[in-house]
Amino acid sequence: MNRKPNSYEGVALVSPVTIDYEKQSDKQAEWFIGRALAELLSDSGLKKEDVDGIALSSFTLAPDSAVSLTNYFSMTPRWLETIPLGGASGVVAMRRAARAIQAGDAEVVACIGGDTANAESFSTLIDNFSGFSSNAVHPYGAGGPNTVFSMITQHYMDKYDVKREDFARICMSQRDNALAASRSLFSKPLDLDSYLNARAIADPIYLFDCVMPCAGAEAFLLMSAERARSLSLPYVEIMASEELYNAYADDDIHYRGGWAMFRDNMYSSAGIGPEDVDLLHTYDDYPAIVMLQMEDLGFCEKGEAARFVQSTELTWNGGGLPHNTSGGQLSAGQAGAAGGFIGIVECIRQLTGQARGNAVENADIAVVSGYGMVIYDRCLSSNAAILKRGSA
Amino acid sequence: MTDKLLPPEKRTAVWKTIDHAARQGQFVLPVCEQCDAIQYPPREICHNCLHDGLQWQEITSAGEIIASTALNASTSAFFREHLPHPVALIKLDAGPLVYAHLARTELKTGDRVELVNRCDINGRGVFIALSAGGTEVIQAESLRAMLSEQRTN
Ligand SMILES: [Zn+2]
Repeated sequence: MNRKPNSYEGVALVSPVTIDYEKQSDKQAEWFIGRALAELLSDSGLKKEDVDGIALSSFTLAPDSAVSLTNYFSMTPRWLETIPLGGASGVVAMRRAARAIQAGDAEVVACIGGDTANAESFSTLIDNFSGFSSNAVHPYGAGGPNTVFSMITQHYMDKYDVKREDFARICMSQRDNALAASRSLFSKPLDLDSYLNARAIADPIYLFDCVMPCAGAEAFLLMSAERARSLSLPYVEIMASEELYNAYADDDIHYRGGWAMFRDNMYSSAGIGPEDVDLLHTYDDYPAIVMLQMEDLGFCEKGEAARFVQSTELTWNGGGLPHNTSGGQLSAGQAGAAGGFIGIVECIRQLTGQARGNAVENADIAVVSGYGMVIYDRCLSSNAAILKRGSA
Repeated sequence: MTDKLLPPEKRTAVWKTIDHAARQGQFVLPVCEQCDAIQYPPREICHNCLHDGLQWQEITSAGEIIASTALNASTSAFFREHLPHPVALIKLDAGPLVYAHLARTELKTGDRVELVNRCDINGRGVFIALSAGGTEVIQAESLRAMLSEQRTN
């Protein structure tokens, strides 16, 4: 991997927006997306007509897509993207929109991930996630992604001597972060006993290793840095970003992802290393997958994430490596495709001094990673971005 | 146990050959006429050379358990009646990675197994991993419930 993308210079991310998560909702996906859009406008002071691009991710909007929203919200954008990449969607939305801004195809792009949730929506989604999974995984117990990730987790634990107590470090610190950010669907901290004694879902995955499906939305705006400055909006710039699909396809089981293939490129493009990063937001569908990202993004050696999380404070104010300071999906909830945006939105918030009750001190540089789409035996999309506080 | 609940049966058309082969007691997968690549999950285009000439063939079904689990949660009402349900990811000696039901929960990572293709109560072919040798009785209760009456042969 020696080919590097062109610079993302001159592009700004602004207006981090979260529409409060709800465990279940009678409202449609359009409500969560529409509320996010309205919040983006009120935060930025822009008018609906100023938004000339939309990048959207949603599972429960189907059979509608981004184009339907132009009619629903009476907009006439000249640039439109629907990104069906689940947990990889946020970084991809940012990358596509950044190029549109640089090329002049759009001036202001609203990037939104949003979904509703009801009794049927989650099982409908996971039972029909892909052709391969509904035909060749679903008949074997209908366990959804837990079937696949319990096996990936077991293999990872065996290969690198990882214990459930190590996963607990990630899950417990994220709960603390979520409570500080006042955005958890849970109301109290998670202690080690509760974590270890939770009910089995698919051994070695237990209840608190799983995300809670919910409704909600996450969103941000992209525009030129010049425009952000003229609007006096605090902003974040993209130092580097990469994406890769179906990496390490010959591995019999998933234990490393595309991040390991592109990280040298990414850090070299940014001119920094992992040691310069002030906060990390990984895609946390399961704690073992968080560990893969910590390793493959260079925060520790391969196979050493268990030792790393035991010796490193992961909370927002622990002085170590603040990780998933929003609480992540494990403790804030997984609002469908918004789960792919929660990391970027939180990083924008932290780097622009807009964090809620969980502000990381002196946060200038963040790494955010995405991971998504379990088509058969692993997720096929991996990506990451290095973001930095914009210069005034 | 109510008889109304059935295991999942929705499959795309390309899987009908596996259902048919299950009635003959055969383990078959599509093989590329041009490059001999064995395909799983079944498909219409070769994953390796993109040729569209795939022929169903009997494949040696011996392999090794890469990882396994006992499912304690399921979106299927049928399986929820029969939890925990043991499943595994098998690496076939022939190449493909295949999810299969485990004949008994004691089978673990590294164990040599043989896959058999059996009809479930919907008439769908499902893969079951038996200890290498393939003669053991299926013990997992959930699995016995989903197989048709010839299940113990
Ligand atoms: Zn071929």
